[in-house]
Amino acid sequence: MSLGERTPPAVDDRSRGGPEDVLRAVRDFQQGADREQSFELLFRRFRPRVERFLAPRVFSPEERLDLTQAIFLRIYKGLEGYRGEGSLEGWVLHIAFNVYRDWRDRQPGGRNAVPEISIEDLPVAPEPAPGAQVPSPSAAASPLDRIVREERLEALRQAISELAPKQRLCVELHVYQERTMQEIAAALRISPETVKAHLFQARQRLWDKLHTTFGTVEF
Amino acid sequence: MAERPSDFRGTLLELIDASPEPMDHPSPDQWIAYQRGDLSADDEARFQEHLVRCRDCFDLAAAAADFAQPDEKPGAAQELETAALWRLLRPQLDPPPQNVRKITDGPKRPSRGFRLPTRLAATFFVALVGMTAWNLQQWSARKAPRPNVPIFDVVANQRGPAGQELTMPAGPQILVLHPDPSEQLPVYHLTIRDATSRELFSYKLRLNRDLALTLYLPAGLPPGRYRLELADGAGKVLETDLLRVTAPE
Ligand SMILES: [Zn+2]
Repeated sequence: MSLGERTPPAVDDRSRGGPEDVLRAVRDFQQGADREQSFELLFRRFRPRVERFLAPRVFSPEERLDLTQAIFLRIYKGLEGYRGEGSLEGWVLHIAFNVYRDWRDRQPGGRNAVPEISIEDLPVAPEPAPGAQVPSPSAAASPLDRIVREERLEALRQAISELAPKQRLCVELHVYQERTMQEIAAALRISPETVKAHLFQARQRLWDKLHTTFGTVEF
Repeated sequence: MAERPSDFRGTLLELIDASPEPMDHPSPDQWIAYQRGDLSADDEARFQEHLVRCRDCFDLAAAAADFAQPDEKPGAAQELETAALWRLLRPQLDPPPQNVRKITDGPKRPSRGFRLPTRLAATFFVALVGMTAWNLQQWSARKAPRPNVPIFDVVANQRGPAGQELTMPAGPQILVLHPDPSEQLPVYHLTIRDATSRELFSYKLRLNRDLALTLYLPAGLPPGRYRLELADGAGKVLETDLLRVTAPE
């Protein structure tokens, strides 16, 4: 059942979850009117989304169960203070995401998580991707090195800027964020095949323009 | 100067790092709107640029994609999962203030749903929920079929005759203990010991609205024999019971 859709009661009244029902449940909850039943409606409303969110990210059913409970308990505790500044859906997403992220960051090597780079909290200073060899300015030993480096940067900047916007985004997300084609596809709202095609074309174009500068253009 | 091996990637990383750092992180609502295609073309392009530099927003945007999908009508298996999960969650919800019990109030009968048979007043019920039931439908849709294990309860024996055991299979376990309702304590201590009386786990538990103590063991106890000891806050043992966890078939 999606927002804005009238849904017939599936099992009983608690299975309803239309927007009005949900808002009424929040109001009732906050006013202390049968909090449990009000919360159950919200639970039934949002549980499928939380499940959709966790299923591809947390492989262990037990961990998923723990996280689902943690998410809804945090919703329960926070609901009193929800003032409707944003949508309830966005608020729930925020909580679910934070609970998941805390869990993921605690995982040794992210074993149960989708393989990805571990991240710090909201980026204050950008971290270079692990394994990436980022030449630091101080490492440039001689003026000649610096000139060569500047030339390379400029050549790359030029070549990258000549790519089609989506091609450039795909390359940058693939290299900088080390994201898979599926992840990029979901983030850019395009198909994985399109991402693949963008990367392929970008690789060819960049090779044409940069192979004399870099020798290889690999990503 | 000697030509270094290709550092295309390194140079690209440097180039992106040198670009302006993203500041305004879109809100979860904005990422949901983005995923639903509700943004203007300009905003959409701006958000996509943001994704390059901001790992958190990338992850949040991906999460928003899962949230933005319309819900399908839940099937029977999913209803079952949801019901099982609600059952697990409900006792953990804080009781509202009007339901806070004073110890001096004396015994109270459980008020809602569950009626405790007086004969079993001094016993444990151990309720086990086969939690595999809760993860049926969506995983099978993801080609990870799981057996359809229904929810089941096991009502424990009365404590007393030595050697009488509760039996439950290995796997995720939920223990629901019903201590003597005539003596409601603010806190209970549950200790799980192995066959040699060695303490394995110890939990501090509070009564929920059904006057029960609920403990979820996500990893479950491995097959073996155990003793459950329920004690008051001072450590005085109130109840004990024997438990046998059997190997999965
Ligand atoms: Zn951001």
